[in-house]
Amino acid sequence: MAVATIAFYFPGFGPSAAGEVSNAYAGPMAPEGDPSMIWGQGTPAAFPPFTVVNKGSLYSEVNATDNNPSVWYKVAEAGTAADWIRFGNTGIVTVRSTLYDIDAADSEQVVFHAVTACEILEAGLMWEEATETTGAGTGDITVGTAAAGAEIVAAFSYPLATASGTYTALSLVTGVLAAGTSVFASHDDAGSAIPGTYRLLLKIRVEA
Amino acid sequence: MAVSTDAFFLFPQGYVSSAGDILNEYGSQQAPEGSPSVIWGQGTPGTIDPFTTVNKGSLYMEVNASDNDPNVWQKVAEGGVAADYVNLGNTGIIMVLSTLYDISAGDSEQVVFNAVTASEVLEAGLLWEEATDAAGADSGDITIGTAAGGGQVVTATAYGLSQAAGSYQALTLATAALAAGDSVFASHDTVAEAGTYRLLMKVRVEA
Repeated sequence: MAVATIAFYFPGFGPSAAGEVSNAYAGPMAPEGDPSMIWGQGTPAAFPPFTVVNKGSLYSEVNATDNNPSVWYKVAEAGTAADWIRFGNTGIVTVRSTLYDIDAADSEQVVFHAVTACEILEAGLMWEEATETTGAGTGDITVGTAAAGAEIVAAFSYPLATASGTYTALSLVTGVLAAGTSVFASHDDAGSAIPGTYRLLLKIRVEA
Repeated sequence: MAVSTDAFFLFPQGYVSSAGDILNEYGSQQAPEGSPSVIWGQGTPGTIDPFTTVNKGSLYMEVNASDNDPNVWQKVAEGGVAADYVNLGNTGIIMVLSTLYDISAGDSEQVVFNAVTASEVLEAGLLWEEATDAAGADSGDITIGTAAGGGQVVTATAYGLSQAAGSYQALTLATAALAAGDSVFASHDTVAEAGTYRLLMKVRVEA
């Protein structure tokens, strides 16, 4: 089995030799094997020690470009480089659409593009002008990865009697966005003279 | 050499500053360079030993930061200055989305961002909402800079032809670094053709 020659354990924070022995290090009362702390050159890859240390391990990449944060954290145990995320290069962003009037014409907005793989964590409607007790429910929004698509949020009818400032949470069909995916919001109008305006608000985890 | 009395080593265990830069003696003999260290202490990293002597990649836990503030620092350069460290929990990636621009409207100058602290633009691109035709649109262009009409961030780039709704036109960065206090200006130059887009930028910021 190939082993990295440029990644090393901090003494006391992992086994002294690579191999699937990480679970042997931890107190007998520990519910699972302990994470390790390693350092080295280059990004995490699909070979030991990156693949054998436990989830929760830390890796300091010491030869990254100056001024780039380069502490990695193991967040999955699939045995791939994608098991690691890089602190400082990962963030939570919010994306807010332009205002949509539910008695205006149907509208298709392109609200985001994932240059790198991302994950939508939340989606919702932020109401600016209140809806009334009838009428608004005949309109809806869908959110997808293609025009009029519903891959992210299935058709959702506008709620009734929603006060200004209310946030209407939308259920996610899937939050995963592959690299190169755009996000489309399809606003379907509720008919003429039906009050209500909102913005779509998305919370997304992005990586550099 | 002045040594901080408020910072201590977790790794190498028992190491005491003032011993000089002998940290490279720690770690595997097979290692391509000296090992980073793990230190802890009070206060932010300063221009003083051990902050200046530990190797790039070292970690520092600031244990007396204000409650609820993330306070793990990483050494990301070896310039011997406090700015060699970044606070990982106070560094993040944000997205900046401009308002919609119609390429057939008049020229428009938008101020889309301000770097209160030094920041770095990682990506910039045009997110097309209304498609462009197979000809004509490339007579208009966008430039992005740190002054009105400037091209410091992205030099003049013609609008793409045959851009479908939802397509992303990546822009090439001339300079990514934004100094503290810089504003970012997007200069949209009109062309009498179909097409609307928003500028989308990914920026690394520090608190």
